[in-house]
Amino acid sequence: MTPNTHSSLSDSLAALAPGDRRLIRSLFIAALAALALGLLLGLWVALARAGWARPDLPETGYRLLTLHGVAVFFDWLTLAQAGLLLVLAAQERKAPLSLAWMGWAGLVVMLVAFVLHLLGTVWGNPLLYDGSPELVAEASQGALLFYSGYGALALGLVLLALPGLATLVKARKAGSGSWSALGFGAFAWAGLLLVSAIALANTFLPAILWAAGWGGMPADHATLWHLLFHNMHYLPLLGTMLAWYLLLPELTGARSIFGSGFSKLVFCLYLVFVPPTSLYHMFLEPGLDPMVLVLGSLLSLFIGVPTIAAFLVVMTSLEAHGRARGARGGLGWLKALDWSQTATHSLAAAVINLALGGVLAFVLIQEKLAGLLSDTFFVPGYFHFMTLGVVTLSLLTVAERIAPALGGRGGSVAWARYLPWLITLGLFLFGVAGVVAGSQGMPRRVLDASYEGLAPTSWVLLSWIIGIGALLMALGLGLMVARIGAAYLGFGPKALAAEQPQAALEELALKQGAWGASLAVALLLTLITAATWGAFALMRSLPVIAIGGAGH
Amino acid sequence: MTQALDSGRSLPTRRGFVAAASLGILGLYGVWAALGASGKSGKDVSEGHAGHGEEPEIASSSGGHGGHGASAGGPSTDDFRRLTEDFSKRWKQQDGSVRPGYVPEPVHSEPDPHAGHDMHAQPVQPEAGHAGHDPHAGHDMQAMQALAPNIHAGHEAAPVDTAGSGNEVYLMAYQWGFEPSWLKLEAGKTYRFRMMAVDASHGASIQIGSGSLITRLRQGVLTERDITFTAKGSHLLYCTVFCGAFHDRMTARIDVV
Ligand code: HEM
Ligand SMILES: [Cu+2]
Repeated sequence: MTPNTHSSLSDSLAALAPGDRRLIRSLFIAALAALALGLLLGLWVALARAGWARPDLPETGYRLLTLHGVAVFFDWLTLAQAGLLLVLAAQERKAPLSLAWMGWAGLVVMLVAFVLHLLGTVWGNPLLYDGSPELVAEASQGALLFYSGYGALALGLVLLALPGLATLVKARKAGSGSWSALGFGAFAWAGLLLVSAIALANTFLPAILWAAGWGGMPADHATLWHLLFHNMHYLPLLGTMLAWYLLLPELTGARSIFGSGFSKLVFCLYLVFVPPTSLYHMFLEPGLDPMVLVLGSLLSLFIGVPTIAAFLVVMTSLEAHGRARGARGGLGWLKALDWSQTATHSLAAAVINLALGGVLAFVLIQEKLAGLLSDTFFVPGYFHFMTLGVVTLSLLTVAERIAPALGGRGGSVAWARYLPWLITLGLFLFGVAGVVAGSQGMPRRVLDASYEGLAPTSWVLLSWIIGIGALLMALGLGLMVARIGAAYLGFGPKALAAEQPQAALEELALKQGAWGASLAVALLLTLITAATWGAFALMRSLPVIAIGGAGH
Repeated sequence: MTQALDSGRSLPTRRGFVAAASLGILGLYGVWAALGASGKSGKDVSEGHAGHGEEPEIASSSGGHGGHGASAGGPSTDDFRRLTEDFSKRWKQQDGSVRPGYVPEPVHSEPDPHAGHDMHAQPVQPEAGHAGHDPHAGHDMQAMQALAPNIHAGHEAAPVDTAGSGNEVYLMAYQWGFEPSWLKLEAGKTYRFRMMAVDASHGASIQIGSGSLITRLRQGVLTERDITFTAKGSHLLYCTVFCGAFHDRMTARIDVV
C-alpha cells in the first residue's frame, strides 16, 4: 500500500450519511455528559476519603461511589466505545452506515439505563456498581430499578454494536473480500462487545428476576460479576489499541511497518487471552484450587503479550518513520512529532500511563500477592492509570479529532496541550499514594480509612495526597471534557482543515535502527521485576505467618 | 508488498523480533519462581515453615487446604454464631478481651464442665454440628505436623485449660462488627482462625506492621487460616469487602502479647 492512497479520517466521515454523522456526534455528546458527571462524583469520593468533604450520611457517600462506577465505567465507556466503533466502521466502509437506526435506539436505551441506575441508587440501598444482592435487604424496589439499569445497558450495548458489525461486514463484501488490519480488529472488538452484553445479561437477569420476586436469590452473583467486570475491563484496552492504530497515520503519516497480517494476529491474541485471564479477580475467594491459582497467574501474564506487541508495532513504526525522515539522535524522532497538536500530547501521556499502570498490574496478578493487595486501594490506585490515563484519554483524543468532521468546532487552543499532563500528574499522585497506601492495607471502598485513629497515621496522610491527585485529575479532565463538549455543541474556535503529514518511504523506514520502543519494554520488564520483588519483600517482612484461606 | 521477507530490515523492525520481545513478559514467571512463588504453593509454604519457622512470611493462597472445596463440611451460619458465642464466653477475660487458651487461676476456679474432653480437638462445641469435620482430618494432621514446633510454644507462659485446645480462634463477621471484638493472642503461637461472615460477605483483614493480611469471607462459608504472629503489638482488624452503609465502622482489635 502506498502512503497517499488511503483517505484520511475526515474523508471517511464525510462519506457517511448526514444522519450517521449526527448519530456519532450524539453518542459522543452523551458519553461526554456521563464522563463529566462521573468525574465530579469520583472527585467527591476522593475528597470524602481525604476528610475534606464527607457527606453527612454514609449512604450518601456510597451512593456517590456507586454512580461514579456506573457513570464512568459503564455509561461513558460504552457510549464512547460505540462512537469509536462507528468511526472505525466508517473508516473501513467509506460509505453510509448500515442499521444506523439501531444506533439511535441504542442511544435511547442507554439513556433509559442511566435513569434506572440513578433512581435505583437513590431509592435503594447503595450497592456499589457490582450490585451484590446480599446488600439489598428490604430495599428490593430500588434494587429492581438498579438491576434493570444493567438489563437496559445490555440491550443498549447490543443495539450499539450491531450497526458497526453490519457496516464492517458490508465493507468486507464491498472490498476485495478482506479487511484492513483496522477493520479486522474492529470486527473482533465489536464481537467482544456483544460477548460483554451477554455477560451483562447473564449477571443481572437473575438479579432482576429475584428483585421482582420471581426467582431465588442469585447465589453466584459475585462470580458472574467477576467475569463481566474482567471483560468490561479489557475490552477498552483493545479499543484503545485500535484508536492508536487509527490516529497514528492521522497525526504522523506513519503506518505500521509490520504489515497488516501481523497486526491482525496481535488483535486475535486479545480475543484468545482476555476471557481466560479473568481468574485473577478470584484469587482471594475462599476454596479455590491451588492449581487454579497458579494457572490464573500464568494466564494473566499472557494478556501482556498482545499489549506489548501492539505497543512495539505502534512505537517502532513511529520511530522508524521519524528516522527515515531524517530525525537524528536517541530522541530526535520524538522531538520531530507534531507537538502543536493536542492529540500528540494526549497520546504521549497515554503511553506513559500505560507503562505506569502496566507495571502495577503485573504485580497484582501474582496470586501470592493477592492476599496483600486485593481489596485495598492498590486496586483503584493502579486501574485509574488504565481507565482514565490510557483508555479515557485515548477515547477523548478520537472524540477531539473528529469533532470538526462531524460538524462541530474544535479549533486548537494552546492551553489544551497541558491538560493531558495535568491529568497525568494528578494520576501519578493519586496512583502512587494509592498503591503505597494499598500495600499497607488501606482498603478501597471506605469513606473514612482513619478508623477513628486506629489505622496507621500514614493512611490519613496518603488519603490527602490521593485527594490532591484527584483534584488535579478532575481539573484537567473537566477542562478537557468541557472543551471537547463545547466543540461538539458548536462552540469554540473553528477548526482549520487538518493536514495529514506525509509518510516516509517504507523501504527507508525498514532500514532504521528504531530501538526506542524495545528499550522501553526492556526497562518496563525490569521495573515490573523490581516492583514484584519489592512486594514480596514487604510481604515477607510482616511479623505474621499465615497458611490457608480455604472455604468449606 | 512489504510483507515479503524480513531480510533487509533492521532488527527492531522485524516481526520475529517483536514477537520474541512480547513473549519476554512470560519471563516474569521465572521471576516469580525465583521469588518462591510458583509451584504447588500452599504445600511449599507449610513445609517451609517446618524447616525454618522463624522466617516471617505470609502465604495468602488456599493451597494447603486445596482439598476442602466442598461446602458440605462446614457449620451453618447459626451453628457458627453459636460456636463463636461459646468461644467468646469461654475465653472472656476480666478486661473484656477474649484470650483463647488463657485462664487466670483465681477467676476460673470452679469445676470445669468441659474437663472430660479430649485434649487436642473440638474445643468448645458440645453440638454435633461438627461431625462434618472428619474429611479434613488428613489435612489437619499435616498442618499440625508442619507447625508442631510452634503449637506449644506459648503454653509455658500461661496456664492452659485442659478443655479446648485454646489453639482455635472463632471470628464472626456481621453487619457491622466482629465477634469477638477484642482478641488477645500470644506471639509465636499458631492459631487456627475459623472465620465466617454470617449475614453478607465481609473481609477480615489484619493490619500488621507495614502491610496487611487480607482475607475475604463469603457469606456462610467457613474460612480457615493458620496464623502465627511473630511479634508483639496491637493490630487493627477491619472489613475489606463492602458490606453496606457502616462498612468502615467494622473494626476489632487484636493484641499480640
Ligand atoms: C477525575 C477523575 C476521577 C477521579 C477523581 C476518580 C476517583 C475515584 C475514587 C476516589 C474512587 C473510589 C476508590 C475507593 O474508595 O474504592 C474511584 C473508583 C472507581 N473509579 Fe474513578 N475517578 C476518576 C475517573 C475515573 C474514570 C475515567 C474511570 C473509568 C473510565 C473510573 C473508574 C472507576 C471505577 C471502576 C471505580 C471503582 C468503583 C468501586 O469500587 O465501586 N474513574 N474513582
Ligand atoms: Cu463488612
